[in-house]
Amino acid sequence: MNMTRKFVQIALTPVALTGLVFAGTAGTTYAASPNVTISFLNSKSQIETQLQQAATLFHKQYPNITINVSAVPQSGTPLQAVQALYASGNAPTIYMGDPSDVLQLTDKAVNLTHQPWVKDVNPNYMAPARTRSGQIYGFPFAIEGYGITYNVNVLNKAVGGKFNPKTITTRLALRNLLAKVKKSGVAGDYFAPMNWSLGGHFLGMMYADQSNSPAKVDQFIANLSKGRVNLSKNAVFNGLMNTFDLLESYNIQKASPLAGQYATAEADLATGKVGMFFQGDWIWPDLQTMKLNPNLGYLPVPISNNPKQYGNTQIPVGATKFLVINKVDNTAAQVAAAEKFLDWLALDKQGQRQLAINMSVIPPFKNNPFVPNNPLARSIESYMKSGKTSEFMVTLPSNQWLVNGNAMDKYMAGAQTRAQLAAVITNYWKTNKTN
Amino acid sequence: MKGERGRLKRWSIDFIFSGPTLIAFATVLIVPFLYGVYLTLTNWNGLSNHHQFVGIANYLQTFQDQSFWVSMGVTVKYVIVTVVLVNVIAFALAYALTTGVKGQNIFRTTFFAPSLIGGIVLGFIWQFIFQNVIVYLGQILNMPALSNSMLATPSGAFWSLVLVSVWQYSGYMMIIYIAGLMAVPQELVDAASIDGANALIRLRAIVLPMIMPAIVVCVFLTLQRGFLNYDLNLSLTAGGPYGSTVMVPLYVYQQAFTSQNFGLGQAEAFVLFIIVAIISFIQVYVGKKQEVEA
Repeated sequence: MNMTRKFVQIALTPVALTGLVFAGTAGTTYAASPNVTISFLNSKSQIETQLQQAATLFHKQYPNITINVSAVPQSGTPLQAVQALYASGNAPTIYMGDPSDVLQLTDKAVNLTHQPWVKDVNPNYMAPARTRSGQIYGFPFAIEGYGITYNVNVLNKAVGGKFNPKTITTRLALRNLLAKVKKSGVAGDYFAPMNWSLGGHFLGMMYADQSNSPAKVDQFIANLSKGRVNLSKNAVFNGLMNTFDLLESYNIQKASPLAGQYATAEADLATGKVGMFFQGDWIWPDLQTMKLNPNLGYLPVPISNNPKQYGNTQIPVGATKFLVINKVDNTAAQVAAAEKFLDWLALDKQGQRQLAINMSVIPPFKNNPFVPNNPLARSIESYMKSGKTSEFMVTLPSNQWLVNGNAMDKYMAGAQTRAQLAAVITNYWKTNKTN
Repeated sequence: MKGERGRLKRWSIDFIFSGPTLIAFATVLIVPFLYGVYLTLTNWNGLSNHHQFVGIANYLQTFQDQSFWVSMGVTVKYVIVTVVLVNVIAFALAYALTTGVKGQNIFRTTFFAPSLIGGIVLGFIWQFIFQNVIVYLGQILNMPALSNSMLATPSGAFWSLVLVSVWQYSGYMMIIYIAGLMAVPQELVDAASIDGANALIRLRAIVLPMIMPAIVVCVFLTLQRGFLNYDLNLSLTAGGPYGSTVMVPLYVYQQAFTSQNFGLGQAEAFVLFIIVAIISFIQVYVGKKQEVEA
């Protein structure tokens, strides 16, 4: 009998100990002390240092709030990183996610509909964070755009004067420009093969350029899913792929296009080894890390020889990162502190300056008077001011870039024809089960 | 009564010694495994608070998922090639380094060193070598064969995976073979020599049967590592070019996390588990039958 009790005691000791440890963590409330520590999962690795500086500055203004910034691993998407944290009961207070993440997190996130900064956001940029019933679950953190990035000095030299980007409104004009660059002794462009870039961004224009009305773009995608689109006969698809072929024919990596590398492309553009590089403004912090300070600008990707064609004068621009506050695994005090930090970024002069100037992010807020001090952001701002933007397809299914990006790579390598590529994309949409 | 008390006492002592390990094993292996098997029967997307029970739908879909079987084909090809190459090279190295060659300890240490580097780091180091160092050498030496990155073509990327795996594991398996070779009784070898057996016959008739336990272990380890290779696959080729080198573990990860089909991904992982378990069982069973006593 005695032995049995002892046995039970011994057997239960680890269980009891574990219980104590869990009770200890769960029982810790921040109410006893006014100091609050919140965590911030950053998925824009280029601004890791700048974000930490902003957190320090914020802590100076609000000494009772400490923000611990951590980064998502380089491989894998932000959602994969935060999924692991949810599963371990360790969700970050603030999660910086991709646009397609936000509405998947509504059962875990704080409703932000009545936050003071909501009225300062252009409603178009808010779309990925708004539910059908109009509730808002994300803070738009950054506006980004992409297109054909060009080196101003290389193009000035190629055209023998001051290059005017407004002259490139057709594929023919782009072809002539590339020829001039090549004639000046510099490779036309660097067409890099990353599947996220070709599948997510280049092919993204195929959807966006179908129509200037977002509703019609959605309709086009719905038709694709129902198998009602004959992609190989689609004018926008063929126009875009003709431009793809053009960029590939002047590619510095033409001999082995899939050997192209992102970082090399960035450096080659900045140092004037190539004239152009299809990419977004997120390359800028990397160039600064490389101590390069080139003069760059954006050209749209023309898809036809008609200067009035929608897409030939527009570049895709959209909110590409959203902050989500988690109510799971976080106390009310932590949520309040996180809301304070968002207010600070959107409304406080210091915060606004941190966002736009120090982090070099184009702010989605109309009331933010600062413009990032870099030529790519300025170029995007000028497209935004003149209304020459198209939709940045930020809420495509989460595996669109992978499946279709690999197919684009296969086309780039010459391992499949355009008809085969069209078949892969069509089949992707017909069979895709991702939301 | 007394017998029962004695049994209880023995149990409690057993539990004190093996209990902690048992609890750790159950919590980090058994429970997640069973939970994983349960998830294969659901349509969970890996994130939502809700999911539905869908029965064996994920398994049916696994058998219809062409990309999964394509990656299974790549994996099997990779496993066959690496198991053969790693074991042949490891055995050859071990054989050479047990003959008393000068500096054999230095050689053993050097060949063993690569297995101390983690797969992710290894992948990035070799990616740099394949993409930059070799290409640069090819350009300055004007050798067109080298001046394009191996990683840009499907076959080049496959063989670079094989090359790095062989480089990484040969040293490790070599150590096991060395241990096996050192246990071969010298008098047997000597007796065979006196009977007129040449080196080749000694190897075939004496050494190989005697080191069968080492062979079984090495083949098992290389098989299992080959099938479960994920880190090197991710960091060296990331499945590229155009998804041609995606092996099953990476494919399962993409299915579960990128495509957000967690249930389907789990079901495919479970199918991989069954396949690996069956192959390993057969291999160990057949291998053990070949073992002999001196």
